[in-house]
Amino acid sequence: MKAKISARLENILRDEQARELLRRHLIGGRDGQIVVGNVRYRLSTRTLDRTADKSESKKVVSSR
Amino acid sequence: MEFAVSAIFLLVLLLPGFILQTAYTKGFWRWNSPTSNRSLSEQIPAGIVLAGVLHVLWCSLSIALGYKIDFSAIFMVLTGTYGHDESHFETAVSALTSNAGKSVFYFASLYVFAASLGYVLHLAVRGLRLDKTTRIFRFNNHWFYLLSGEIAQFADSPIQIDDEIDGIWLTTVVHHSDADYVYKGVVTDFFYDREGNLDRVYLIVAARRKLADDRKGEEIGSPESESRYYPIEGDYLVLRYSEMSTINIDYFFVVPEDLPEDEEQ
Repeated sequence: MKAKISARLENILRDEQARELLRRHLIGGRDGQIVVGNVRYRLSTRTLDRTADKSESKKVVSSR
Repeated sequence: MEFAVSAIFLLVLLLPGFILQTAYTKGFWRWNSPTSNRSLSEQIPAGIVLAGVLHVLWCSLSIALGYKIDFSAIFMVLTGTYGHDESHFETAVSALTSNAGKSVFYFASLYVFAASLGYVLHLAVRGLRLDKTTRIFRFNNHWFYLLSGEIAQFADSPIQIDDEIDGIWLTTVVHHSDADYVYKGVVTDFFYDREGNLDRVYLIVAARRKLADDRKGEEIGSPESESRYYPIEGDYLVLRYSEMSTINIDYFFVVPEDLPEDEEQ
């Protein structure tokens, strides 16, 4: 069964240099930037931050 | 002979319940990639109940369309009791065989209906995201939800991500004869065994290091901490689930950003 790989990630994986940069960022456990052609991607592994961001934005909306 | 007839007939009667369950839990997935794993002890009671409901529905429909159903013959064949000296055995068998065409059509149409209903219900649950919002609709396969990232979309999950994740970064410890090793890589595929348990995982852009080369506090996030790993040459790294002792999953996102004009190539 296929695991989740988005079209954006496929685009990165097709580029050898970008793939290596992705590997280094992920091993290091850091966010980073990866450029493929004319597109720059921001790599984010901070799932919990995204969760927190969303709950904060919901609070703002509900307080209005 | 009579016992065998009863057993076969019982199987034929219960089959639509199992067909409905299988079609619902598996959907259109391949046999070795089930969306839901349930034990036989769970499937049998549910299969009996579902078969009963389907037969009530199909019998009602048949009677409404003007067909006669000889319930006494069905009861005799099921229980294997044909009266004193089995005087009704031939009557019961002839009731089933004299209308063989209609009987075959009854069961064949019911099997097709059960399979179709199962697929439609499966599609409805997945399409309406009921398995993510309501626990009772959730398919019993945590590996599927974990490795597809859908677990983060569960209403009762502490991690809530409405956005689709872009990839899954897996870290696992594998024991080798000389030492334990940490493997990391992006998950591309995962497979189940015949029992529906996770069997193996395919990784790309994989790397590994010895578990003993753990990072020190001051090395966290530094280039030195990355140098402990070495990339694994090859297109795919296959890891067997039975050889993994611990697993860590990171979901990651790659968000396109505007590239300043002076940086564009």
